[in-house]
Amino acid sequence: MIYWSDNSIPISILDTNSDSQIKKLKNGWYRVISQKFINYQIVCFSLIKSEYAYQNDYLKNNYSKSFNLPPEIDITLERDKYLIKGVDSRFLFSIQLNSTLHLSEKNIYIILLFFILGFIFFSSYLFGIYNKTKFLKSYTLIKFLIYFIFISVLRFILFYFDFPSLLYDSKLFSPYYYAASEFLPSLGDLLINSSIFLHLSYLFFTQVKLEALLKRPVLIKKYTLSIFSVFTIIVFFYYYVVICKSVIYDSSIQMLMNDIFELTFESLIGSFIIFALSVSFILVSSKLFYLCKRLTYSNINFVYVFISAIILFLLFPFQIFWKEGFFYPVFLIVFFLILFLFDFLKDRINIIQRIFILILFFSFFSTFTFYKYNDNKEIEKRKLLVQKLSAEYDPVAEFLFKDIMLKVKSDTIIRNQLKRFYPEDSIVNYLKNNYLKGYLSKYSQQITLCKDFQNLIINSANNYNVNCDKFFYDKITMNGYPTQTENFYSLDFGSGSNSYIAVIRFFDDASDSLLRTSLYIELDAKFISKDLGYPELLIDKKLNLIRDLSDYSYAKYVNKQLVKRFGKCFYDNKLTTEVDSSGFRNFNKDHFNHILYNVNNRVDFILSKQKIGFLERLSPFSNFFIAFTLFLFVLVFATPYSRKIFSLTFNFKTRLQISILSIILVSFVLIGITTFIYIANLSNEKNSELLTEKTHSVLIELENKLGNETKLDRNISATVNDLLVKLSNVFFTDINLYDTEGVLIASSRMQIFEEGLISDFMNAKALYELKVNGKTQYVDKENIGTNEYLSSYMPFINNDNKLIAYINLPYFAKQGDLRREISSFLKAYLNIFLFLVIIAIVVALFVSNYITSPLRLIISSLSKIKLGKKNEKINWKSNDEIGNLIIEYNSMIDQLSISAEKLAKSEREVAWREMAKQVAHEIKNPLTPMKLSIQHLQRAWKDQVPDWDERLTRLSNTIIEQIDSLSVIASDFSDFAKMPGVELECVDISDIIIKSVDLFKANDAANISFNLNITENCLIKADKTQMLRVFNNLIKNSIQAISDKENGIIEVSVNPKDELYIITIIDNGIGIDKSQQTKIFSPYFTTKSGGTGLGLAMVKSIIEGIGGKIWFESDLNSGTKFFIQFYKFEK
Amino acid sequence: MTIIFKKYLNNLFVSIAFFLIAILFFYYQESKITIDNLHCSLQKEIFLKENLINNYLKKITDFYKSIIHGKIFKMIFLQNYLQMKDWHFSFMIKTN
Repeated sequence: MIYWSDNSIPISILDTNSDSQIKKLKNGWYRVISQKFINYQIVCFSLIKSEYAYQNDYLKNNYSKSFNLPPEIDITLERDKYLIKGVDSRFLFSIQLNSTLHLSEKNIYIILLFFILGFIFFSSYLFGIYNKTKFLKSYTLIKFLIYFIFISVLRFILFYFDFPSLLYDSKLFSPYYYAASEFLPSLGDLLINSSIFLHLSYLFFTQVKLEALLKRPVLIKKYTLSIFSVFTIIVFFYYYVVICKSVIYDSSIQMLMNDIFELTFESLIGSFIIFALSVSFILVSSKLFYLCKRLTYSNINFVYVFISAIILFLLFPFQIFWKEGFFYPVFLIVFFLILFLFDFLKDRINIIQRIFILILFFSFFSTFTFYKYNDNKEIEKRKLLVQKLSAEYDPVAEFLFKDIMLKVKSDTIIRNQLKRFYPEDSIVNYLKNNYLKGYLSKYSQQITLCKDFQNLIINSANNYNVNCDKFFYDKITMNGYPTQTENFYSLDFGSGSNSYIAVIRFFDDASDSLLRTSLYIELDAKFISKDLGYPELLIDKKLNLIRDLSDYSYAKYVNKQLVKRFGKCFYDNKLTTEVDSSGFRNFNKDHFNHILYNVNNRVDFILSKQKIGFLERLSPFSNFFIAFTLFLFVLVFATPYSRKIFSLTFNFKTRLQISILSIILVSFVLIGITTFIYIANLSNEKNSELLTEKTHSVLIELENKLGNETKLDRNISATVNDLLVKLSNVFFTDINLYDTEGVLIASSRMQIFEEGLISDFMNAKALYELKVNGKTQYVDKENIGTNEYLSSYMPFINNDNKLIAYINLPYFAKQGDLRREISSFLKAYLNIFLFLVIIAIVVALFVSNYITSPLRLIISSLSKIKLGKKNEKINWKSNDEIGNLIIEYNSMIDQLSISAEKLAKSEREVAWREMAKQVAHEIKNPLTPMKLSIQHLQRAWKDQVPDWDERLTRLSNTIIEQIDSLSVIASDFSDFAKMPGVELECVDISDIIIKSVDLFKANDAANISFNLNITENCLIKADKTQMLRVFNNLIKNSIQAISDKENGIIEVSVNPKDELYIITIIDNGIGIDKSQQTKIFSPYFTTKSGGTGLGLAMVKSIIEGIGGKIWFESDLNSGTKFFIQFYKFEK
Repeated sequence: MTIIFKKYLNNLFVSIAFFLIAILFFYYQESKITIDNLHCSLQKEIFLKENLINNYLKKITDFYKSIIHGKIFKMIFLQNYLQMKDWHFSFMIKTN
């Protein structure tokens, strides 16, 4: 072999000789293409499918990426139905299915997403139609509750029949990730339920009109309703806590919220569920809270209601809520306070600020819940682990022996040696050198061969004989416990050390008496050992042997004396802590949280976990905050609210806030990225340096031991292996040794090579750099499966200054530590980053408030400017740009008051002239018929006409009518003149309307029916008398419009809309002609014979005088709708 | 009533669209993972890869036929190593 491109193929020279086009090597199937030219042969290996002896997180039996095939398909060299051929049409291999093919989890998630969206939109469609039907039109709450039940039943049916079934075949819908109860059996079901619940809460928030409940309720009903609302909020909160707890406690996904880099799709689903429930809770509770607030009027009443609701809550079996400590009730009270605050600062905080406060609150709440239950869960898990540890001792040895025992049993060399009566020593040495090295060398080993019926001489004071098999049989029955591996027993002599005995019987061929031998291998662990740790890479996940102990430390005490320890924690030699009655004790010491477990009278185990630092503790908070913000963005853009947000025109203050925030965010992100790259590089460099230093130390040690050798090759690999194992335990690293041609001589972890995870050939680039370029050290990234690690190489030069080998330190055993190091830095950075962002947001709010405060002062002063009144000047001391603006403003105010005076004077003159003209005109009109009537009477009197009496009556009636008309004109003008004398107060507009309607009901309109749809307590700021005049006028107009029409109906309704009341007066009278509609509010315009045309002009002037608005819609002959809009009264 | 139906028709269309996408996506994915289909795609990929490897082998041999000197051979080859890393296959050269 003169060249190889890399060390990922575990191939030997022999493998390249055969002509086969497909090869099954130890780590997978390869397509082999070779070509000969001149004296060379070039062989190319292309990976088809990785296939390892066992699988774990790093080693997975997958097809090469470009093939994109599921692992359920097996490769076989037998000719089957599905043949794969090469380009030359030669048969290569067949494929066959080993199990049914399933859709990948990713595809199932996509289908689930579309299914949920489809369901929600379909439900929106159904509800839209249902809500518009006349059924229970005025009872939106009952209507909604019916719909809620309908959707719940529909969901239950789908759930009961496992529809759609393809979803229920997946892991997400199995108890794999989560299972809490019969109705919440999987994470997928919980996801669907919470999404539907979010949708229904949204419908409740937007579609249900609780104002109907405010309609004239009696006192008792009012308070029952309030208490019920608050009670519902508390019960909802209770279930919200229960489900949040369940998501954390009953799931295997661990949420992983403390490590964003280990975030999986399932943990995202978990946080989405918490988010959906939080939003549902906010929507439902804020709606109920404001209903209750309006029902109770005052804060003190609300407090009474709140206390009553809590008492009611206590009557129900929800005590578990209080058992969890007082934290959750405190959270609930804080939530209510936030709602109070929102209500109190209605105008001062906008929707974005409210959302920000709510996200902060719920992130904090989720973090608290996460720690509360995750810590409990971790402690429970640790208790189990410590029990297992105390029972199992050394899972790695047990795992290794499973394989060793099979191999030894079928080893032909041993079988031959046994048959030929080889000396026992030779077999023992063979076993030690070939099977019991590496990891097992930490045990002192005793190997005994028991031939059939042979006796064993026990070296004791008496030197007695005993049957060999019986001796071990007794030993096992008295002190042994079975392990997971068959015929491999753990021995408990009470010494506290790990002892094992393996029994290998060569009894399979009973006829061959020579083989009737039992082999007993005894392993005894050395005291106070500290393991290097076994790489996760070499553990079969299926055996479930290894529990990830990388985060833990443990110690074993016998008679309170330390006998064994593992991990980072330094335990005391003497155990001073006692367990409590449960057999466990949980305590904190030296930055570790320990769980002490008392195995028996003499043996104690401690399993410890490093306590999380403050910044790391904050991780879930940042992660929840970021996740909630992102979910909210998606949610807002998926609902019609996005249109509202896009149509918002931001004011100067908001623009300023957004600008400050964007600058801060962009700079933070840029600094973050550069720091991350810098730190990652630095950390890599640091690790390379560390590794180089370590390699150097190992090299010096090796030079001491092997410096005199002139040549290192495979012949002495057994000795070198032992040496490397010893050194690896000293330096806590694995060590490989390659010869000068780059072929493996020895390794401290031969298993890596034996299992074919990498080839015996050295990293080609390293060889090139060291051998050809003459470098003295080289560090490169290598990988086994998906595990990437740093690997360091150095040439090994003997005492004669001759290169005899290359030393290599692969750092895969510590790769997990490295990953954790970088991830913990990033976590800390992310937390600081988020905190700075939150501080920046608060600062931005203050700064923008500070900068815009003079502008707001000017705006409020400008809005108060009124002509004809004394306007106040602004007092501003500093001589800045704002100061100049204010000087200009003040001088403008002076000029304005002068101009206003002049204007008022001229206006008064004009108004008087106009008035005089109008009065003269109005008076003249009836005077002419009066004059004519009197002249007519004079003439009749003079002429002594025969019908004098009749004429007198007729003409005097005409004169009286004209005098009445004059009187009407006089009172109208008098009313008009009275208008400026207004007294604004808080009036209930519904009261006034009812009074006005009652007045007309009693007198004018016997043939007209009134429909009132009025809510009580519609408070506005207005003049009571003027308001009465407004509604008298409008209702009178409507009655006159209906006049003699049969079935006349006048509908009056008051509807609240945001900060307004909209009052509608609808009649089915004659309506207003289109040509007249524009003039209807002009003074002196009338369509009636006896009107002055001042009525509607006066109405408009009164309404607009208090900031209201009036408009109308009318169709000739079908009626008129008048709309009046008033602002709600605010204290 | 017709107006109401029309008003909310958008939601219906969107929901039908989502259900349709879910169903079509399901059938598309399921049809993709039949053994027949997978067999076809694997065969195609094997051909493609083989052609690719043969091309590269030809290039390599052509290149080295022009400079048949053992030592230089090894060095130059190794120097080109970096560019060859992304080939998704490994190769070895040995003397006959």
